[in-house]
Amino acid sequence: MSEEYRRTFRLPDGGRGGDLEEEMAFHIEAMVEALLVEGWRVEDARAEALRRFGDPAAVRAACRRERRWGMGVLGRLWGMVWQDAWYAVRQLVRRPLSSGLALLTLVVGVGATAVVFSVVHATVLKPLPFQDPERLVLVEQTSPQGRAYSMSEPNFVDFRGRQRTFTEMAGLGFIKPVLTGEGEAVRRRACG
Amino acid sequence: MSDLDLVRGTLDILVLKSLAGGARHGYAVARWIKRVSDDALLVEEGALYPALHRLERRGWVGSEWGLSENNRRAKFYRLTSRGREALARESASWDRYVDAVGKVLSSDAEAG
Repeated sequence: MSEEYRRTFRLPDGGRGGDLEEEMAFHIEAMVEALLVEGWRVEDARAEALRRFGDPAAVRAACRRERRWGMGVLGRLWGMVWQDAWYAVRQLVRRPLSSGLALLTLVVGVGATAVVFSVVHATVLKPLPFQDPERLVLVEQTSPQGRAYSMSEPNFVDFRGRQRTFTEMAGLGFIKPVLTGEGEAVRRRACG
Repeated sequence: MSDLDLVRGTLDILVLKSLAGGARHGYAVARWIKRVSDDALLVEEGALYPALHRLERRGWVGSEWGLSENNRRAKFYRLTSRGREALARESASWDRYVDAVGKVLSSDAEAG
């Protein structure tokens, strides 16, 4: 696993970790300088300073505990959430290409889903603009070969008069009426 | 390693006191306590930084990055007004404590 990925997936260290690292580094440097003034040899001073400083991991852990303790449960939770969110933002900004790709995927995904659902809604879910749409039936006249063809008006009147299945029957026809009035006459597709 | 082990909670008041004269970085806090106690009190780093962070969290000290005497970036801690009040309060209670323990230890155990 590369260093980059290890850093990406590293558990958060409680924030301000970088500050503490720099603080400790400064402290050790100052100790080294004091030892040099005391007459230590350059090659020994650093080792001695590190020895006197003790385990930086212990200092780190103690500071982390210190920060976590005082905040209370909600504060600690909020701190962790905020820290994770900020970390996410930093990672996104650091890799604009993969962030852009992820964003594009989301945009396409959400868009496609919205389209599919609006089609399903319009065709399947949304009730027809009639009363009791589930009782609506389309009756067609077909030839013996099974081809649908239009019904003549007398046939329709007969069907309507003799049937006992439906409470109501209406004819449906497509016409192209010519509309006149103001301006030029126009031909329109209509259904009635 | 210290000649005297710091009584728990005492470090905080020493750190507050070390900042009473102005802002210091962690190293200077430890150095100051060592010097004014004639090397009797050595503040371990493992306790110093948690203490500074604890005091900061309580709002008794504030911190900001600045330049050290040697022109290196260092984090300076300073006393806040709440920290100043806390120092006065804790000092008074420490005096009472030392006074009481002193009275007991210097008393005549045979009497009473």
